[in-house]
Amino acid sequence: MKKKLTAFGKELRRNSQLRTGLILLAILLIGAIGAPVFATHDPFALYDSIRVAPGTDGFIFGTDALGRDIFSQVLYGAQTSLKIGVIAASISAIVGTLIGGIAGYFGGVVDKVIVEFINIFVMTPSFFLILIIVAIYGSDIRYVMIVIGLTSWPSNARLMRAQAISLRQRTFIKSAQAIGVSRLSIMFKHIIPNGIFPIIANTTMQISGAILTEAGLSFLGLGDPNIVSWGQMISAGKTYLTKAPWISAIPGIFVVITVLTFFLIGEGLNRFISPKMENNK
Amino acid sequence: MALLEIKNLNITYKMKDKSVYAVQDASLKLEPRDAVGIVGESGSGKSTLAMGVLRLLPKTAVTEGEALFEGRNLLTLTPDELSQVRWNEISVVFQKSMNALSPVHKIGKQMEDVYLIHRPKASKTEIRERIYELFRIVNLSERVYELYPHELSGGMMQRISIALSLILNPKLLVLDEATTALDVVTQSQILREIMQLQEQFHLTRLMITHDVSVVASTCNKVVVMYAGRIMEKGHVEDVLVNPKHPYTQGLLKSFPSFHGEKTDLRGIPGSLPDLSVRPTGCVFAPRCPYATKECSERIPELKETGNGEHSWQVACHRNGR
Amino acid sequence: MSLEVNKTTMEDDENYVIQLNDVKKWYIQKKVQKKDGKTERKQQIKAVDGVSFSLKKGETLGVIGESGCGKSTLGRLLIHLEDPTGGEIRLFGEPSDRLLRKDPLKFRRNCQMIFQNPFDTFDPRYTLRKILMEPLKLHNIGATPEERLDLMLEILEKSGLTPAKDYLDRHTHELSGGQLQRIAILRSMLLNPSFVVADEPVSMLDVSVRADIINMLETLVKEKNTALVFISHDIATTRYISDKVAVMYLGRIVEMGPTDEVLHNPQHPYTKVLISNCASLNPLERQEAIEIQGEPPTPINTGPGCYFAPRCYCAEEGCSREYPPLVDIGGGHLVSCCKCCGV
Repeated sequence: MKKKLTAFGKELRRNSQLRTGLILLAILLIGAIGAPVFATHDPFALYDSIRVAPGTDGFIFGTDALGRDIFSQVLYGAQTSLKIGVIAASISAIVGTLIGGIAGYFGGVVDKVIVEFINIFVMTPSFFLILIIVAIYGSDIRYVMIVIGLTSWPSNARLMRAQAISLRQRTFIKSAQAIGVSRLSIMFKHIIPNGIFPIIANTTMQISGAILTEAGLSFLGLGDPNIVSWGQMISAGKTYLTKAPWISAIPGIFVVITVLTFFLIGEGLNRFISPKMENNK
Repeated sequence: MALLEIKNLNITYKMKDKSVYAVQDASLKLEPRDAVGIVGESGSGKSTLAMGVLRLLPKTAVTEGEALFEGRNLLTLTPDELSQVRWNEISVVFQKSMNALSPVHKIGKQMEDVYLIHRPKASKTEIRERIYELFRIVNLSERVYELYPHELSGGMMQRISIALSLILNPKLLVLDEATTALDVVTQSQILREIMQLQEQFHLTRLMITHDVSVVASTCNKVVVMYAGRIMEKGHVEDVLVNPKHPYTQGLLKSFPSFHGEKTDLRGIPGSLPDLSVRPTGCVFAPRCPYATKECSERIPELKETGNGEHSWQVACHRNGR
Repeated sequence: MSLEVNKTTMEDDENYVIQLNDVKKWYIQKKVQKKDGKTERKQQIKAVDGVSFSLKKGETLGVIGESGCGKSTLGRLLIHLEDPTGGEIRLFGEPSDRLLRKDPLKFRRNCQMIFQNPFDTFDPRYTLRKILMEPLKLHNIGATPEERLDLMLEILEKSGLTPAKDYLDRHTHELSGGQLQRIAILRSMLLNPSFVVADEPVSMLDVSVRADIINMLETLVKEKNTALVFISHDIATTRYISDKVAVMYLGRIVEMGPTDEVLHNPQHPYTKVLISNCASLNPLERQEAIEIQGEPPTPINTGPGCYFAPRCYCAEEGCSREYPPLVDIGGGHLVSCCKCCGV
């Protein structure tokens, strides 16, 4: 464990993408978790100062058309965005890993059926699927997370399947089988842990995707009205883009930063794990 | 004059936190038309030695000493001069030479390209003639010209590699584990062909292998290496029949015999020493059954043993005692 | 396919640990580009094409042959890492697929395999402790944690890793091939199998450590009276460890019998070729190798007739008509050649 930590430390010094990503993530996390502490105003309260430019009257990022404090909204919005991103991507990772692992390791007919199933999902335009679901079941944030998760797993499943297919040929898998380990536990004990790294990297990038999707939904007015989210803020400011551009621009910048953060971490992890783990030893 | 003379060659891999002494103080001579086999286990430095002489090692490897090819020191040649020597005069066949071939081009086309690089003015028919000739030499049919690499078996691929290495009539052929990955029957077929080639084209051959039987059956001289050092060298009839160095003895005993009684099979206990530590004495001392105090204190030099026609060199303190 | 083998199996089922009766493994390859440019839809690759033999307790059978002759596939079939396409494998007289279905753990415990590549035999993420614990837990060996720890330390010590305690939490990449292969062998033998397959266990190791591994395997097998199938392309090593030898060519056994009888009095032309091409260590005894034509073929669309006939130096017209049966020419020496059995 100690060795792994030092290896990771070494990697951090060398890998600037991973380093920048993690620093940005730390800042975002502090902001999101500490929102109640850092917030200067109640994010839902309507103040008299309407469309005030950033920096005036104690409103750091100014206020929106209804007089809500943008700074506080951004902080609470970070909570929403991170939550959606992480949960949706985790669902995608778990589903993708399981389905891909089963397809790749068990092979044969199971594999063929699952591959076709994956293809169907890949071909379905997922954003429209999400729109339909939201239209039918309402725009509860929980549905949004689950739907995003359940539509983005195919890429993870494909990655895991490829990993499982190549791992299946390795001697240690055959050796475990010969010792008497059951197929299911081989999958959970050997195949998935050894093939998980690309999925971790991919999942981090999917967090960005999920955040963007949620922002897109909210922008179209399909977000959960009971919570603050960056997408809704951008949507709310779009009518005033010429007169008060900061209303949309500030949450927009944060969406970009967050997406970039997870993208950097994902790319950094990718570099860390490929081309070969051995190079880091 | 010797065709290739290696004098006091040292090869060290310089890494961030340590140096690995891969080859130490190696000297050997190849007379024209010799067939020399370098044998050793993994980590013995046999490949490093040959690749170091040809300057095919990565930049982290520092090579010191001299490697005189027909009097010219290969280690100090300019890159241009070196590329003239390589392939024109010295060519190499690796264990996986076939990986060097592009999978999407036909064999014949790729061979043409190689020929054109070194003989830019050659005419189309001349090249074709030469390639067909080479196919005949290595017992391949002319049909191979139109095939892609994946359509060939391992043995055929290795034949192509050998044909490619002979394309410019080199004087020295280096075979680095060239037949290791092949089956017994194919290996012995190819080895026989190589020996015929040597006769036909007056080649000098340097074979690098871990398989002593290959050297025994195809070479006239043998160099035994262990942990970067030459342990014993001389004619195969001397070294392999009457080994003087405990390592050579141990190595030969590790092979089960095919004929006669099933004698006890004995390996060499212990494992290869850490090559990043400079030994104070004989590198084999920690695993040697006869090691004395002297062995761990003083590095033995290669000294003559045997007499007259049957004399060879051994690096062991027990020699001559 | 061979009546002789069948007869004996009927008589004393119990004496045999493992019996194979016409075992086959055919793979189907889709769409193959043939040399003449035509594509063929489906081709059968007969990796193992009718193998029969039986093995008693404590006996060692060496299987030799070139790459692609199906010897590794045979090894995997024997312990059911793959299922045969046809034929029957019996363990102590009972069909092994039934045993595997009835009690997979017991079957696995009974049949063990040692693999070619010791560097890849263990999960690279696992420590030695976890690696050794896996079979102990799975098969309920050792009652208390202390007992298990002792067993694990014993294995490490026997593998030459001392002090054993320091190695328990190391990863496999810190060990040498010889050490890993010893651990693999000891771990398999810990389960007290009645039958072990060793698939080229030393071909990836250095010569000087090979001998020790072979010796260790031999001692353990003799000690525990285990039947061993030793798969190798190295004839000399096989001779050293085996009581019986089977020579395979294109998925079939072409010659089988007591080791020295087969190797020093080979009857099948292929065996003769194989043996004559084995170079000796002694440069003074350079022997004449029998030269044969052609490349080792692939087991696609073989037959009719003897599979070796196209390359055989003494093939006759009759050779390509029918595959010759495996016939006993005396002393349990079985040969499958038209010329030897006088068909």
